[in-house]
Amino acid sequence: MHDDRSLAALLGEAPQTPDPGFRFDVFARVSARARRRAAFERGTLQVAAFTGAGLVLALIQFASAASGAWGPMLGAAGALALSGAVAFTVIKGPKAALAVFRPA
Amino acid sequence: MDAASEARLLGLARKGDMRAFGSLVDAHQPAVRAFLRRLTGSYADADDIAQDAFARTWEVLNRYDGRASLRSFICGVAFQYWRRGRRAEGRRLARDTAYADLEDAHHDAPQMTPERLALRRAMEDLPPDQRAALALCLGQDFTHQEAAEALKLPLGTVKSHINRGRARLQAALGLNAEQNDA
Repeated sequence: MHDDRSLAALLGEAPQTPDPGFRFDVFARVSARARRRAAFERGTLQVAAFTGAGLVLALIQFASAASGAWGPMLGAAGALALSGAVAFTVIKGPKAALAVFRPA
Repeated sequence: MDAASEARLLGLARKGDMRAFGSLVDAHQPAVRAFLRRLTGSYADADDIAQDAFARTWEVLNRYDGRASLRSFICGVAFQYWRRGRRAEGRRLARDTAYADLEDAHHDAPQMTPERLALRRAMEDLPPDQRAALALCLGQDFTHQEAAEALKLPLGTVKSHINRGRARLQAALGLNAEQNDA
């Protein structure tokens, strides 16, 4: 005779508990997903930062028609310095994944 | 785990307490893994999806409104992962290959007797929703209501899925409902 419980047992048994290994695997995945998400956000920010810098350079170039030869050069240098600072901050990134959950 | 303890742990986990979340994982992993083992037929795949589901649950804990039980919520997340994995056939094949060695390491995986094989084939022929409803409700203390919440299906549909699915599983074993009830 096959009641629901025996059918279920034939399809797959419930695991023995507790299984600490499973919990650690879950934590590892939480950490990996947090790292992936942070990397994605950093990458997006980098693209936005460099796109912004490129846009600024183009605007400076456009403005240089009226303001002499030295203006665009200074503007470009300033924009490059700014984008470098932004890129450095972005690449350095936030604290290690899960570090925020460590007790103080 | 009683409701008060679960609510307390949930509150802590929402504030970022990984220990509390670990306790919730310990409390709910048997139900979620058993559900996925019955659903997928592979212990390695089941654990793979279950770990992803728990990891995702950690990210969306704030979206859990408490209307369904937490284990229903996690099983719902796991069900979405399983369904997405079925759609992404290539990725599933890659995962199967990657886990082929690990599967051997699952010492608790049962031997594939003819009975188990017949049931597994019958399960794989069922539509995904029906299969999931059976995997939740057969042999576990998931109520039909909990299954409906986890799978986001109407209660009547879940009941009908279970009755039809059970009949097909019994038919795969060469039984019919009358024999079983006798």
